[in-house]
Amino acid sequence: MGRVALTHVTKRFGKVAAVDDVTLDIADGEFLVLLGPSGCGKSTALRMIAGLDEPTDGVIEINERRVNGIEPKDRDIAMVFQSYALYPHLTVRKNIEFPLRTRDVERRERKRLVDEAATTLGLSDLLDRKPAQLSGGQRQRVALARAIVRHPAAFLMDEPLSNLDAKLRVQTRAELVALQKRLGTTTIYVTHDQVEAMTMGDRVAILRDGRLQQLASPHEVYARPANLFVAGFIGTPPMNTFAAALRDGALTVGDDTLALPADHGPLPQGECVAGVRPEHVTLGTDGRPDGNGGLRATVEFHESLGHERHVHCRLANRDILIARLAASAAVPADGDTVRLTIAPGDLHLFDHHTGERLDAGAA
Amino acid sequence: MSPRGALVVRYASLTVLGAIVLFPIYAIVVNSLSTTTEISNGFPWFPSSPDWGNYSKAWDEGHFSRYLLNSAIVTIAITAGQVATAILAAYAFAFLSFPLKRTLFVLFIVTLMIPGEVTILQNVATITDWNWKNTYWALVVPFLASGFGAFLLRQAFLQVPDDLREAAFLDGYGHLRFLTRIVVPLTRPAIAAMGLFAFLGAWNQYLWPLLVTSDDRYRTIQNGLSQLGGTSLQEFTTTYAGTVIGFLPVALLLLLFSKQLVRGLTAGAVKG
Amino acid sequence: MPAPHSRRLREALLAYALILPSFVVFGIFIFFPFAKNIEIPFYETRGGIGFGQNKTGGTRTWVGFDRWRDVLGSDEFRDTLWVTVKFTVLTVPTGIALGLLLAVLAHQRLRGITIYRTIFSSTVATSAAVASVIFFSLIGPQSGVFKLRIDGIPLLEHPTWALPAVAVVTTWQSLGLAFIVMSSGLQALPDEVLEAAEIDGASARRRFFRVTLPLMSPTLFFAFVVGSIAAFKTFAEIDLLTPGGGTGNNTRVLAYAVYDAGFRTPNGEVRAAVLAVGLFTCVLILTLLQLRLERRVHYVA
Repeated sequence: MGRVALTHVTKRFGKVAAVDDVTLDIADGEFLVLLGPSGCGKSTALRMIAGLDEPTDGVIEINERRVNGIEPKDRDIAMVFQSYALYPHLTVRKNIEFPLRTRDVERRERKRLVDEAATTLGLSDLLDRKPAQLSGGQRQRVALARAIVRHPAAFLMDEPLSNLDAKLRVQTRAELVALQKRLGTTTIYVTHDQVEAMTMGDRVAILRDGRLQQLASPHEVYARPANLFVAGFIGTPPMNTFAAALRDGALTVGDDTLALPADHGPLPQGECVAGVRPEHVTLGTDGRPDGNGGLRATVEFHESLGHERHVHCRLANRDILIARLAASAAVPADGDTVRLTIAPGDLHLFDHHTGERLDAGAA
Repeated sequence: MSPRGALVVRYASLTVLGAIVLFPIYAIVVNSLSTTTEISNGFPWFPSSPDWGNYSKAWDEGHFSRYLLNSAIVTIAITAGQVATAILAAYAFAFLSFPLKRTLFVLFIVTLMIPGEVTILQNVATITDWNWKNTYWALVVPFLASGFGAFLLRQAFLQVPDDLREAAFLDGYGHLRFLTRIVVPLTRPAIAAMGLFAFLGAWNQYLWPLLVTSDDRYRTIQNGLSQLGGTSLQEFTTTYAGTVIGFLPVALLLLLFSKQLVRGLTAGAVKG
Repeated sequence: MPAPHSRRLREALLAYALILPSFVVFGIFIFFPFAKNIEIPFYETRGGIGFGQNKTGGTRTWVGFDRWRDVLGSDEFRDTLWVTVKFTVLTVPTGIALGLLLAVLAHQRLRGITIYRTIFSSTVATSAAVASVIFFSLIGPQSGVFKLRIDGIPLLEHPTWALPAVAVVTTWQSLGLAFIVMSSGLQALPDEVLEAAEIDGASARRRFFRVTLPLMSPTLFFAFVVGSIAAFKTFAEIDLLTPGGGTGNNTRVLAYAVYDAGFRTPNGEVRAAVLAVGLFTCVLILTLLQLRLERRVHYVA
């Protein structure tokens, strides 16, 4: 069983709050990703769960047991560090065995568990080597083996893939997810890479400046970002945002109008920030505004990326929208006037002061 | 044990050890401030009234003012000399190419392995031949170069990025300006550390000054302390004051430059 | 081609000019004396005055390795070497262990820890002479405030306990440097490996002996070799605390024997030269040992 819960956890260093009033509930067997830019507090949060740092406020629980003040070794967790933190003077076997020796596991049982972990991670031939003789990918697997050998309640991983080269990273990503599914152990995974978060996590917790921005499945975070920060952080190229106004059930940008989704719920009138993902912007060459939908824009320039094209268009109010087109699509010339259509369901609305999501409708 | 209890234990152990380490220094200071009668009555743990008599005695009659001056002159001269020659040599080894570079550098390193004892016999003879006994020359000249300094500074100079050097030369800098305007400012910690080592080494020299100075006018402070042959307690207390005089300048210097010392030690990667 | 050639020539000349000052000093005061020192014991000098001053008359006859054999095989050399080794064994391991202990204690993240670090490194400001006077003021035969006597004999005159006493003084004096070196070594250890050990369940004691200590081996090794070389060259403390080499020569270390033979004994120069070479050889062996074994001890990961 590996439930982990953070309740109103804060960590202050002097006046600065590295983690600010974060509440998270992680289910047993879940793969939770802590995502955010550097300095957002994700590593600090992980270290507090591990017991390497203690929270200034708030409660951390592992399996319904309050662990504040309890030493790391008594929390039944295992950690994989970004630098792997292998014991350079010990062989691979001894490295994996270390957590068992400190718990006085009997020798035959130790051997069995180590061999089991080594087989799971394909390290059986490397057991007598020292870390200096291994490649980066192999060292990472040793770090993983050391973590799983104890069958802890939860795995804590601090950017374990960032020291691998790109190709190896993609491959290891899939292997990690498969491993976790097989073992069924709760995993809390820290990264700044949104691709990792989106492909690996059951749920994603996005942090910024110590505060939790959104806690939801990858799909939810992509389709219904809770605020402007999340909207801009997830997705490449990032979501377009532009100034608009809400008036009488429709979205207006200058003289142009866009229809809102039918079930948008109560919305404040007046200024707001609208968002739309580049792939949801349809380019029409017709320069005439239609009664229902369509923003007039001028093409500034376009970029060809091989598999797709990005067209940068300037709206009447000077904001820029990027439209993603297929590589084969026809592209208007620079300077042309175009009409951008956006389906109501693809519109995201945010408060122009707080950046919080406005509409409560379905994705 | 409670966290509070553990904390107390930590501070207690640190304090006890600190006291043990510091005790001898405390003792000599106390001894130097005591009169002979106080000492003969037993160790004055907490002197009630400090007596500076020993200090004025040491300074005048005990010639410690002279010893201090000599040590200062000699040490500063040696330090300046070593820093200068080491900078020049390190520059050559780090930035210039020339035939026999490797061999010459090895010779520099070799000087580190030759202990003073095998050179001291001939060096005393040389000094005597040149009539340099009881002069500042004898105390300074043999130590104007430093293999350790050249090694450390070469290491530090090599860290200066190549493109910085190329840009400087493209901009018309000559070697001298490159050295003074770029290299030296960039490697200040290493130079400071090296200087500090040189200073300490020179200040603490004992055997060499003992052998080449017999005239009290040129005696350095380390040798001045060896007036322990005296039989009366009075002479001892004077020496104690002299010891503190010998210790204080260095202690103050180190206090001021302690950060550089540690940084220089680790930056120079003195792993042998 | 003229241009590059002259450039290279100029550069070489500049380089030689820069190295010249150092080399002149080395040549006169290190290489030449070293060569002389090796040369002297091969000759029997008669009538000449002093060391290398045999220009005023006197003859030199080649005697080959005779004098070398005499001195190196003598009881004096053996005894002196033995005292030096004893002294080294007393000072070096103790100094390193204490330095490490202080460094570990001062490595904690406590408030005001810098005060303790300053105190622990303070002996770096003391010289051998200063340390000797300090301890002489405490345990000296006549002046000592604490009149330590064993079997009625003052400590520094005691045949058995004088050497350990001097060893204590030397250890104290070098404690500051030992602390600084060990501290630097500790700082350089990768934090994450120690945190991993903490998470893996290792107690503080286990972490120290199974992780910290092995990872510190390069530093420990370096300190051991450098410390031993320094111990072999100890002179000032012996001269100040036990002038003459102690009761029954029980503190007569190699460096002191060189001094005694070369400057206090008439016609002792040859003996001094041979002893000096003996000392040099020991230092050389230690240095080579370090160079050889250093790689074994480094776990570059």
